[in-house]
Amino acid sequence: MVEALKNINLEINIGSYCSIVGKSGSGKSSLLKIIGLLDFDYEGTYVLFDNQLRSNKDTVVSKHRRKIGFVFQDFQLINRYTVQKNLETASVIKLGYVDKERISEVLEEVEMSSKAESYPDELSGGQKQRISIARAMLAKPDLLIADEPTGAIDEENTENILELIDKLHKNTNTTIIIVTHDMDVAQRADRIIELRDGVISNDRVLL
Amino acid sequence: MIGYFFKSAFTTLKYNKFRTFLTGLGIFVGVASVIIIVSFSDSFSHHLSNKFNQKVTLGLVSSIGDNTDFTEVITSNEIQTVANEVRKMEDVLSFEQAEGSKKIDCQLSNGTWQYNVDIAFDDDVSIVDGNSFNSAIGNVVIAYQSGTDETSPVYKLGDSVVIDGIVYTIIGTTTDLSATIYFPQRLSSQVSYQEAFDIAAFYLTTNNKNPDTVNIILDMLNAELEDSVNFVNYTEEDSESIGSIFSTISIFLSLIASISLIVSAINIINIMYISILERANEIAIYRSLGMTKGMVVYLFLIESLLIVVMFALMGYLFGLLASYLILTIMDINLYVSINSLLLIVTISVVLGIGAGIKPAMKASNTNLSILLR
Repeated sequence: MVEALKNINLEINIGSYCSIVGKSGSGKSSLLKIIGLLDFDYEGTYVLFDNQLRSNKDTVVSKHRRKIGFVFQDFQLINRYTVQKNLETASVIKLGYVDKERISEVLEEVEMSSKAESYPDELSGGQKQRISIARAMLAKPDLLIADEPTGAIDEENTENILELIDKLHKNTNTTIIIVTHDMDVAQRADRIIELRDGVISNDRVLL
Repeated sequence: MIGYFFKSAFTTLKYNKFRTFLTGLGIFVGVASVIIIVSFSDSFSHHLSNKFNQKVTLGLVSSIGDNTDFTEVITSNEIQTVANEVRKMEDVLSFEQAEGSKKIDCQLSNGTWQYNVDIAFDDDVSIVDGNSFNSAIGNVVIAYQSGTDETSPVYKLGDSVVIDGIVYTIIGTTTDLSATIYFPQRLSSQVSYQEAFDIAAFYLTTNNKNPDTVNIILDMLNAELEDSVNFVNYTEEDSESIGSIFSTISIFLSLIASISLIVSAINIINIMYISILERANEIAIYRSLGMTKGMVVYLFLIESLLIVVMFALMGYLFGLLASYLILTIMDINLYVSINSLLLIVTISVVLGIGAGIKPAMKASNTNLSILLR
C-alpha cells in the first residue's frame, strides 16, 4: 500500500475559506477524498461537523454527502441529461424532490438560465463549471469542496468561476475548501495549506 | 422520489434505444413463443373438447352378470323412449348396440377340452398357416393360433372340433383375435350359437352441445332401469385424456421456448455489467451527491425490470395476436386462460430481478475516487 499522507493533523473552522496547494503527487487529492467522504481507506480519525465518520453506515455517510457540494476539475456532469435534468437529479438525491424554484435560482446566480435546456456537450468549459457550481450550491451545502475548479478552463473564465466561489463564501458563509496548484487561485482564500510529499509543509492564515 | 427514478430509468433506456431494443428482443421472442404455444394448446384442446361435447357418446354397461343376456335387461326401445321424453334429446342421432360375441360349446377331437368359444362367420380371414376358405368344401374352420396360454385350447392344423355333434376340420390358423373360430359364411345357418354378452355396451350419440342433457338422460335411464345399469361417459374420458396429452405437449414445447428466456436473461446480465462499467462515472456522481448504495441498486433494478416487463408484455400481445390470426385462418376460436398472463408477469418479474440484482449490487460498489483526477 502506498502512503499518500503522513501525520496530517488539520482543523478547518466552519465558515472558513481554505486552499490546499501542492505539486502533483503531494497528496492533496488524497486529502480531499477523505474530507469529501469519497475515500475511507485511511488510519486515524476524521470528524466532520462533530460527527466521526469512519465506520458509519452507508446511509449515514450518504446523508452527510448531501450536505457537501462538490466542484470537480472535469465538471462531472451527466452528458446525456440536459442542464435542467442534471440539476433535477441532484435535487432529487439531495432534497428528495425536484425543487424547480431553487434550480432556477441557482441557474440565475451562475448566469446560466438561458442554457437550462442545453446538454453539457453544447457548453464551453467555463459554462460547464458554472453548472457544476450551481449543482454544488443547490442544496445550500455546509461545505463546498472544489478540486482544481479552474484546471480545465481558460484564463478568461477562470476569473468568473473564482468570483462565483468568492461570492458564495461571502453571501452564505459556506465553508470552502479549494484544491489547486495555482498560487494565484490559492491567494483568494483566507488560509493556505501547503502539502509536500504527504505532509503539511506550510499552513498560514492570510489577512 | 421513486417516481422520479422510474422516469430516469425510462430516459436511460430511451437514450440507449438500440441497445435496449436488442436486450429486450430475446425476452420478446421468448415470451411470444411461449404464449403462442400455450394459446395454441389451450385453443386446440378447447376446440376439441367442444367438438366432443357436440357429439356425446355414452356407454351403458350392464352390471347384471356373466350369463345374462343384456338385451333382456335394457332394450333399444327403452332407451329410445327415455331419450324421446327428454325434449332436448330430440336430436338423438343414433343408438346402436355394441357388437357382442357369439358363443358356442366346442369340443376338440381328443375330447380333452370343452369350451365356450367366440365364433365369427367371415370368408376373408388372414391366415398365417394352412389354407383359407377360398376353395375349401365341407365342414371346415379356421382357428386362432393360440399362444402359450395354458387355459386356452391349442388348435393345430388338421385337428377336429366338435360342435353340436358335427365335426369340423381346422384347415388354417390366424392371429386375428376377433373370434376364436372362424366359419365360412355358407355354414352360418348350420351352426347354432347363442348371443353371450359378458359386457355389453350401447352407444348413444347426440348432437346436443349441452352436457347437462347427457346427465338428464342418465338420470332418467337409471330411474327407468332401477339402477341396474352402469353408465360410462366416454366423451368426458376421451376429452380429458386428449386435454392432458395437449397440456403435456405444451409444457414440453414451452420448456424449449423458455430456453430463449434463459438466454435473454444471461444477455441482460451481460449488458447490465457493460452498462455499469460505462456509467461508472455517472454512478460515482450520484453517490457523491449523496445517493445511498440501496438507491443505486434500486435504480438499476428498475432499469432491468422495465426492459423485461415492457418487452415481455409486447411479446405477450404479439403472441396473442399471432395466435389469433393463425387460429382464425384455421377456423378455431382463440382461447387463452388468464393463467398465461399471470405466468408471463411472474416470469418477467423474476427474470428482471434475477438478471438485474447482481450487476446492480456491483454498481452500488463503484469507487468514488474516479471523480477526482
